[in-house]
Amino acid sequence: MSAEERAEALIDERELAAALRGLVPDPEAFRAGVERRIRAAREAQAAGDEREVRAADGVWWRRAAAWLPGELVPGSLAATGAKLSWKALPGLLVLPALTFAMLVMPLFVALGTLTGSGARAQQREAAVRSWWHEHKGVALWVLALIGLLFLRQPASAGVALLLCSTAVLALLLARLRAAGFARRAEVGRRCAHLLMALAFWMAVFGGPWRTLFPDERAARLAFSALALGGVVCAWVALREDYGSLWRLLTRSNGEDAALLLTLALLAPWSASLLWGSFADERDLDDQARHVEALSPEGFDGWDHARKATVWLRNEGVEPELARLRSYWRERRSDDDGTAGLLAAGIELGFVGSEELAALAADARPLLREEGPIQGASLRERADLLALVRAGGLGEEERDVLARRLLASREAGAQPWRIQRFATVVALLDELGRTGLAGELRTEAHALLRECWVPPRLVTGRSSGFIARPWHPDSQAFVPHTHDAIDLMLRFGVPDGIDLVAVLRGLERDGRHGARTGPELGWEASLALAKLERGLLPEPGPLGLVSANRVLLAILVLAGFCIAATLRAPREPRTASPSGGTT
Amino acid sequence: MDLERLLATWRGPLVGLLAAWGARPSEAHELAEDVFAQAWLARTRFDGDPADERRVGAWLRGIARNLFLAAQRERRRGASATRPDEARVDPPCEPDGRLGALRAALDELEPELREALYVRYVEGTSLAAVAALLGIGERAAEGRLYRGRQLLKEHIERSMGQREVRR
Repeated sequence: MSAEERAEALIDERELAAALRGLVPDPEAFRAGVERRIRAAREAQAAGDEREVRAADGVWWRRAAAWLPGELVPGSLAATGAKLSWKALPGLLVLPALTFAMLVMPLFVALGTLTGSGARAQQREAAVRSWWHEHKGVALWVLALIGLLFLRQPASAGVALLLCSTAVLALLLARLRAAGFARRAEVGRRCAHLLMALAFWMAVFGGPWRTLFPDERAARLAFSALALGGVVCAWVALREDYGSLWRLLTRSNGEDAALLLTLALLAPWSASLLWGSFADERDLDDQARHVEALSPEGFDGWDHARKATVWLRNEGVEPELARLRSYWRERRSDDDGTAGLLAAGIELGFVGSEELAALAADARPLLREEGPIQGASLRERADLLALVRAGGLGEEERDVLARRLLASREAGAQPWRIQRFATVVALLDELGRTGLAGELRTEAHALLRECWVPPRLVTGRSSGFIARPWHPDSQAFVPHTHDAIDLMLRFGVPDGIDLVAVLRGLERDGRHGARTGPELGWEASLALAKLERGLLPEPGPLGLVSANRVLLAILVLAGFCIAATLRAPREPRTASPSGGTT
Repeated sequence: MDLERLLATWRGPLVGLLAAWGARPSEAHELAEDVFAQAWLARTRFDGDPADERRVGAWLRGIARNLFLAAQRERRRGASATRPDEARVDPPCEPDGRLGALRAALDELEPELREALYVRYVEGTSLAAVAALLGIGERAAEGRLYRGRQLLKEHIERSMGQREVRR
């Protein structure tokens, strides 16, 4: 089909503009309308008039809503910023208000019973136990609710858990303080243990934790807040009791020695564990640097280099490929038999025009045949790529090649179905047969739906795509998900595909470097970058706050621990026989 | 941030986007004016580069979405007070014909394609601004526009063919 014929297949742009003419605003009237609104808003603001409820007035509510588990917020509150009656606040806060927790309670009971002996320790234990007896019913209900929430919305459940922990800590400290036990050294120790335990769990069980954060930076910041908060609390507590480092080292008891050991060894080890497991390279510059440092091996290695470079170029970033080019020449001169080496070189522009023309001339027999073209993904066919890239094909020859490409869609092995399809579409585009490629949209959507692996809440399997969905428990596979994203970038997202689930699946697979291997980890990060930049809408301010709500809850918890430690009295108060303080 | 420039770049696309979501023409104009007023009043909270179309587009789209949902909710409740701007009337419908068929076909398109076409063709917006307002890449925007125009052409030809047969 010629360019003219392709144009005829589309509705005329002038007709479209005419059909939408009724929407064209009059610039002057529009500007006057905007200015009138700005004036009215300023006047209302000056007069303190709150009757005109618009979204801007709901900003605090929207911020509050972003903090709370989404399931507890009325449907459109977060999105519209509408004003909400203050009467609804207790309803929204019912879960955090009812909370008693699973993190703090066992820790306090265990440590409270382990440390110290005698009447004072028994009194302290009695205070904690009476607190628990009063609240355990509600605590268990809240635990069950949060557990159920975890199955649906892990991030919201994480926020609820952390807020619950903060509230429990506050309540418990208040009770202990009222009973005369909350002196600064003790509060500081408990807070340090709690924060360091959370930081340690975060590093060791990185996967589940990090799915709660939008990116590595947030995860790092959360860990740092926990560890730093723990260090501050511990330092204040130990300084209170020992005064100097020498006294601390020579006279500390078992519990304090354990705390010191935690600070000295566990925190740095946890940090190195956490930092070492990051393989996220969604930033364009990171991806470019990665490509520039590559020494690809095998077809997969060269294929990854090709995919990343092509995408970076589409995004307007030109990586410096001198090193990769030299490495490629070296491998080529070694007569490396790697499938796809030459094809990757053609795509990356490492093959000179003369050599390309020679390759294209050798490949012309392809034009004298009919039927599907052999090859797994077609991208490894250097002759095919040379023909397409060298140019100089006549219209009829392009038609022959287009026919053969269309016939090749389903002619390869199952594992290559999605990549083969994406390759056919890309090559049709390169041949100038965009119309033909566009007609494959329905088929592409059907293929994507067929290969879609939806998330499983109970088993927690990764969501994404696999070219061979043989049975219901098939797991998503990163390269197939990557190819599927390429197809969605070209044809749009079919109904029924949950992009956020794809994002979570890729994050999960990409971050489990030990399980998936570094190459798959990198491919996952590339696919993530494509997904985030090309398909997922950019989050607004509310979206950012909502995405980082677990981080914010951690910051609140750490901040609260530090504040509670610093505000606790320095000297113990004496408990009166009636349970009050003197 | 320059209000004139903001209006000139985003006025048409925003009206188109709101109309694509289902707002009537007069409502789309009003909501778009609300969007600009809010954006202007809250400009100090915009932490991106005002020259960065992707950031500005995402920001305006977020405000538009919030206002559109709020307007829908108000309408559902039937509690919206009469506002002076409601005196505006929608332009009269075209008589049945090719343009009428084209509008009907636009209504039947998939939402993502309709959004792209409305954003692009109300005031002939650039591809970069279309992509920015829709929060997608330029290639994806181009693909949607291409596919939308193709489907419209097919629909129109089918629809006009049926009319001929009925005559």
